[in-house]
This record gives sequence, structure tokens and C-alpha cells, in this order.
Amino acid sequence: MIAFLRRRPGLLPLLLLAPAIAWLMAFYVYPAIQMLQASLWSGTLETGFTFSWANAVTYSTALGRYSDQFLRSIVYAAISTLVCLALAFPLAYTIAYRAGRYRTLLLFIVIAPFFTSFLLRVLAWKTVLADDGFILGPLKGIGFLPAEFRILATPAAVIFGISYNFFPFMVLPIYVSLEKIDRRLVEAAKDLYAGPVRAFQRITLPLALPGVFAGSLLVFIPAMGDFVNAELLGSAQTRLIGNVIQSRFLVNNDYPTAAALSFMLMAGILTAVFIYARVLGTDELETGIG
Amino acid sequence: MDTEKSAEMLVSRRTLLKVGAAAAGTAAFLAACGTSGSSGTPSAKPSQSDTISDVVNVANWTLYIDLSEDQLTRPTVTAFEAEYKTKVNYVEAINDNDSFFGTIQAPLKAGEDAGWDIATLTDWMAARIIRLGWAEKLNKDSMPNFTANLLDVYKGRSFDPNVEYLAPWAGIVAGIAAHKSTAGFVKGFKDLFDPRLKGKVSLLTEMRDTIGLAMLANGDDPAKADRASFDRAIAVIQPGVTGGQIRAFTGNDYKELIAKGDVAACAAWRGDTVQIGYENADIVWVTPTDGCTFSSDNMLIPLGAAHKFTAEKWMDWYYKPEIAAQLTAYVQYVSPVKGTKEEIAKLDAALATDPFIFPDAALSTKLHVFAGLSEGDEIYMNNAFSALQGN
Repeated sequence: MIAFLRRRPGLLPLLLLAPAIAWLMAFYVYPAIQMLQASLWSGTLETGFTFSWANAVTYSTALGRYSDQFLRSIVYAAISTLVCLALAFPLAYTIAYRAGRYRTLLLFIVIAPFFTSFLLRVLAWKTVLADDGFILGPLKGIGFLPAEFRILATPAAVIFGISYNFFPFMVLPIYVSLEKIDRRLVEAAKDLYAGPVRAFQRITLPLALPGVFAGSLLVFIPAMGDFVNAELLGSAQTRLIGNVIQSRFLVNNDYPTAAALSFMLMAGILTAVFIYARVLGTDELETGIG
Repeated sequence: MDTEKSAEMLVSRRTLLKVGAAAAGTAAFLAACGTSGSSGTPSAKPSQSDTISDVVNVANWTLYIDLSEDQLTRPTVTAFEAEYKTKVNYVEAINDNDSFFGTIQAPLKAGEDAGWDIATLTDWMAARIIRLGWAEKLNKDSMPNFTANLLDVYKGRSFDPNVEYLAPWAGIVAGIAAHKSTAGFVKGFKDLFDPRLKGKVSLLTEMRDTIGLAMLANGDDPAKADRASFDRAIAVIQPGVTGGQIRAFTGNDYKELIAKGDVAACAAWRGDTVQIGYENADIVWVTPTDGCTFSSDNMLIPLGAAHKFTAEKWMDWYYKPEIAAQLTAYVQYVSPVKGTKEEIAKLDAALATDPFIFPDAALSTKLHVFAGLSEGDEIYMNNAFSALQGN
């Protein structure tokens, strides 16, 4: 085998890629083709579904009908990503450079919520943030908040839920980027009379961008398709496109619309990622990593 | 580096050619695909025997089974397990009909075991499953109590005229649950839209209950529901959703919302409300002045269920009057079992005269069944009702 590969060195990369390609074909490409097929069906569960290219009109109909939920998903995902970034960067910086012997402990605390299920964490927030729960109740009791104030069933609750649940996905890549930075570069900048702020702007931040890039994608992409937070923490006014897809598939048995929406969501995310990569410049990022 | 990039580009072009060919093939494949209607296609493997299995998997709603004083065991379930030397995997898996249907439709459509030996579904959903050919026929030879004790009113129903598929679990009255302290003024459905309750109201995801209650408030009869009366009902609710009056649409999970006080009043089921009231006396049942909706939940055996015989024995167990009485005394839903009234009187005489368990003539005039819907009307109403919920 090794001798065979020596004679044909070009085959080695393909051989190494084969398991991943097989995995992607089975669990991504094949379902995606099935989804594309379903999006071009018409009919009902009871009469059966028939395929026709003419059913492509489902895409424009679905986009028109659910544009509010699409837009809301983009806005909520973007805000959640920014919230995560704003909170994660200082935390990751502290863990990387200031935590000393507490570094491992702090990293553990960041990922600790993952030891309970996603659903349980969201349900726990329903109790914590209840209108008269142990946080809002006392604040209302002393007159600090009006009696009708609430967090649950508002856009803020949904954004908070998404930010909370995906926060570690932002912290960890940024931490890894920061931790890899050669601190002698910062010392060199200071030797050249850069102040702490300027050294941060010119050295630390650019070299941390790969982490910011990865973290942003890891938060934004799942946030776009999230439906659990909107379902459990939101209201009818905060439904996201993920809720619509879930409802069309499982409640209304409207497979074509659900599949078309899923496809458009996937295409939209890919486009957004592509634009983001172009704007941030992945080549420079790779150089930064190297 | 340059050589590597050239190689990458070469692979890319080759790949593109292959992708192009694959795309052409895919197009042909897609064009050849579709699905047939599911009605009457029982392709699941029969896997039955007349022996009790080691386990029986039961899907039911929450607040639908009797609990011991310490709330740790279910006495009638435990008694069944002891009687038949089996294990009941009793799961409160049903929050609403639609979402549960979503979880079983794929395997049933593929002719596979959906994982449940018993599913307890409301009339209209049970009717759909029978229409689709996804329910097992009951072998009544193994169900003597059921044969003898099913109330006559449940025989001859349009969706199961010969009682071949369904064993009713309970009759359900939908109306209003409210906190006396904060929503004591609520007497009818339209009171849920009082500004004092802004953001403190929930409605049910069960379309027929929420829309039925709104229809009654409009003076429309749910038994004659059509698109016009449906649209009028939506018009009553929509401003409440848009304006933030309605906090949520829920299945059984309204019990947590009202228990915590996040919801002050809600569309609710009567038996649930009584049980929630065991824990919090401030939460009370309100019979809406305009009337209530009435339906039934029915046990059925999904096609291809692995333990059909044991499932039939489970159904039959709850048609023993003494077991039905024990269950009904706790859950306080309408019992479909003959002889329950006499048995329940031995447990608690007051329950034997409770009209919400044994409806009397006065209450019966307030109970309204939702019309059977054509598939077209059902799709129209489900779509509009989903849109109302933001979906």
C-alpha cells in the first residue's frame, strides 16, 4: 500500500479526504438534494406530493410571505453576535493574559453550561426571568421596576437567550487566537514608543482577528437558524425563520414551503459568510495565524 | 507554491465538470421523484402475538394520569404492570396534536414502527390518522371491558363508526383558567382582551379550541365552522397578538406559565385547571359565558406498533369501571366508561355529581363540538392560525 502510494503520491490527499467526503455526501449532499426535491413538490400529505419544476414559484411565494421572519432572524443573529463579541473579547483577553493560575478554571466556567442540555438551559431562564421570579419579583416589590415590566416574551429575551447559549463559541476561538500571539511583538511595539492602546490596536487586535472571524461565524450561523430560544423565551411577535420552518414541516405538513425556506436560509448564510470573508480578508487572516 | 495552486485549480475545474454532470443527473432524478398519497397503504410489518410483551410504550398528554400522594408513582399504571407483569413506558410526550404528529409522521409514512404502542390524540387528529391508514385495527376479542363499557355516545362517530380503531381516553372541555386575584373579572373569552391583562394571556395552539372559543364569543357555532366564521374569530384575536395582549400560544405547557403567574388568564382545559388548582388555590376554572368547546382524546395503536396485544390490554384496563373511577377522580376529565359514576361515588360522592365529569343537561347546552373539516378548509384554517402565531 505504502509502495503504491509512493508511486502515485497524488492519491494520498484524496485518500485522506475520502472519509470526510463520504460523510458529507451521506449527511449533507444527499439530504440537500432531497430538500431541493421537496421544495419543488406540490400537493398535500393526504393526496401525495408531485414534483414539477414549475413549483419553483414556491420560493418567491415563501420569501414574500415570511420576509419579516427572515429579516428578524438576520437582525437578532447580528445583534447576538455583537453582544457575544463585546462580552467575549475582554473575557478571552483576561483569561489569556491576566488569569494566571486561574486560567483553566475560567475556561472551565465558560464551557460549564455545556454540561447540561441546551433545552434545560433555556427552560431555566424561563424560571430565572419569570415576571415575578426571584430577580424581577423583588425589584418590583421595592418599586424599582413597574409591576407590568417583563423580560420574557420580548425581543430582548430572545436575543439574550441566543447570546447566552452561543457565548462560549465566541470566547474559545478568540482565546485561542490571543493565546497564540507572541507577546514579544507587543513588547517590541512598546519599545518603539507605542502606548498600550496603540499596541493593542496595531498588534493584539489584528492578530486576534482570526478568532473574531471564527467566533462570529460560530455564533451567527446557528443563531440564524435558531428556533428554540424564540419558541420558549419569545412571543408571536418574535418568531424567527427557524420557527416558521419547524412549523411548516411539522405542524402544517407543508414540506415544499419548509424545504424552500431551508434552502433560502442556507443560501443566505453562505452569501453572508462569503461577503464577511471578503470584507475581513481571509488571506490576511491566514497570514496572521501563521 | 505556484505548482500547488495550479494543481488546486486543475482539481477545481475537473470537479466543476463532475459537478455539472452530477447536476444534470440530479435534475433527471428530481424530475422522477414525488410521493404518493398515504391513504390506505399499510405496508408496516405485522409483528403481533397474543402474549404480553416486556414493555408497552404509551404516549399521552401531561396532567392526564393519576398520581400517588407523593406524586412519585402512577397507581393505575403500577397496578397494570403488576397485573400483566410488564413495564409501561408512560411518557407525557404530547404537548399538542400537531407537534406530536410531526414526530410520528415520517416513520408511519415509511411504514415503520413510530416507537409508540399507544398514542392518545384528539378526535380530528385521530380521524386524520385513520384516513391515512396509519392506525391498527383493534382486536376486540382481547378487550372485553372495552366492548362492554364504552359509553354509547362514543359509538357511531363519523370517523370511527364501528369503533374499530379508537378507544376514547377522556372527554375534554376547553374554557378559561384564571388567577382569582388578578383576573377575577374574567367571565368570557372576550374578557381575555381586557387591557388590565396585557401580556398576561395565553391561548391554545389547538386551533379548534382557541378558534372555537372565539367563535362562541362571536355568536358563531363551532359545529358549523366555515371560512367566514373562522375569519371572524381570527379578527377577534389578531389585534391581541399584534398589540402584545397575547403573551403566548401553548399546548399543555400553559400550566407552568399560569402557575408562575406569568399568565393571569388563559384558554385552558378543565381537568388540567382542577389539577393545577391542587397546588395553587388562586387558579380557578371559568366556564365562559358564551360556552365551551368539547372534544375527546382517543387511544389508538399506530400502524406497525411492536406491542399491539399489550397495547390492547392497556386500553382495556382503563375500561374497568373501578380503574376508570380511580383515574377520573384524579384527572377530573369526562369519563367515557360505563359504571364510572357508581364507582367514583364510592371514592368521593361529590365527584359523582360533578357535571364536568358526568355532564348534565344544563352543562351539555354549553358544550360545543367543532365541525369536521374538509382537507381544503383544514389547510386554509391551519395556515391562517399559524400566521396568527407568527409562523
